[in-house]
Amino acid sequence: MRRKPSRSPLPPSGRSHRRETTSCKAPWRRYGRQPIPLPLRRFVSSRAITEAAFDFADTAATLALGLIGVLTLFLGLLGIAEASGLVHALVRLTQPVFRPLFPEIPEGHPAMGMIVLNLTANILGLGNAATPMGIKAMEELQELNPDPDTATNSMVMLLALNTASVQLVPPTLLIAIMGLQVNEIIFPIILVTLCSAIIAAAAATLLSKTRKHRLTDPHRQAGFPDSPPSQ
Amino acid sequence: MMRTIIGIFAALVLPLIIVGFPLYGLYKKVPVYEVFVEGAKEGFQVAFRIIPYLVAILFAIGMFRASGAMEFLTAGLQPILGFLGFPPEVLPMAIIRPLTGSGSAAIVADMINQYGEDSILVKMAATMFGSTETTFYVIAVYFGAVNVKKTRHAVPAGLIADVSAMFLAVYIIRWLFS
Repeated sequence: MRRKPSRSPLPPSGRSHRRETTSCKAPWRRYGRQPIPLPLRRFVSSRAITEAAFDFADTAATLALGLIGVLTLFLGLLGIAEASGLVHALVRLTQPVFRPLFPEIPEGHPAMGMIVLNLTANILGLGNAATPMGIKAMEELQELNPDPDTATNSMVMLLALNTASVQLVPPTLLIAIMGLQVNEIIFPIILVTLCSAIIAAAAATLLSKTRKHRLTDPHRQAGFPDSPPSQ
Repeated sequence: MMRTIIGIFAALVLPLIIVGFPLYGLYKKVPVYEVFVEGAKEGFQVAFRIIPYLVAILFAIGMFRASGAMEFLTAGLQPILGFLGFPPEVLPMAIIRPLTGSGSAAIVADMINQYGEDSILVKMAATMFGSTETTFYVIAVYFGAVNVKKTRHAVPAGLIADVSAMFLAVYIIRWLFS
């Protein structure tokens, strides 16, 4: 598909003050009656690239505008979930699962509450609510941290579980793009994320036990009573 | 058996969200209408905010494919990926996903155009999108917020989780749908 120059969305460029560029035609057309006889077949892919760039820029904008309806619907619904305290209702279920993963946090410390809220909001797909809670959780963990420059094992665990969280509700953007087709992949997503969350927790735990990361553990360096001094 | 479970989830989860969330809100005496509208206002902004990302990624993917680089890459990686049972067509998703969420949405949209809505490749890519996070962004935001500079094993742990989720998405989708 070739674009007509008149539809070109390009703004008047800096070149337009030059007298010979008043025409919108391709540059090589201007310098003679005959186009330079280039073997056009050689440039098939370079033309295809240019066309693809223009076409896709067009598609992208149309696509984004088409998403407005479903995005609006789901962000509204998620707003209700957030305001009605669905996250808090689920915390009682999720707390016992997450607690053992954070052995560094003392019993009753507010960090744990924030972590559970953050991870639960993630499970429900409430990204907007989850991020501020996650940052709050990081701040609480930082208070427990003897060395503010270095991440503790709990921080890494929180991060790992955030990047590989169980997802009951697919991302809003995915719902908007796939429409009702998203139905079919809800179960696979839950299955995959269940496995990957376990892998993430295992990876964070096992990596923290490697020699390199044990030596940089801020809690260990501060001489935690239960850990033997390491060289 | 698995088909039935998928069917049940497909029939239940979205209606549960669409009907259940407002009902739960009513039960909790939340001003449902006002809260819905307040949250929904963001839909418009989100759609506009993602346009630059969509243009950037779609245009890059479009050029990548039109130039033949895509074929070159898939042909080159076929021996390894074929051995792992990983379709090269979903490779762009696996690469882009940890970097940008809107960009991966663009890839799903592009794959729907390319392979059709019912394609197993689209299901794989969409499952990858739904199952992993923009790992680097999350790490940057969370550690940035508290000024931690030495992230220790955060990036390896996150990437291990991501990579395994990518492979799991491929295997589980293939197991469930073919």
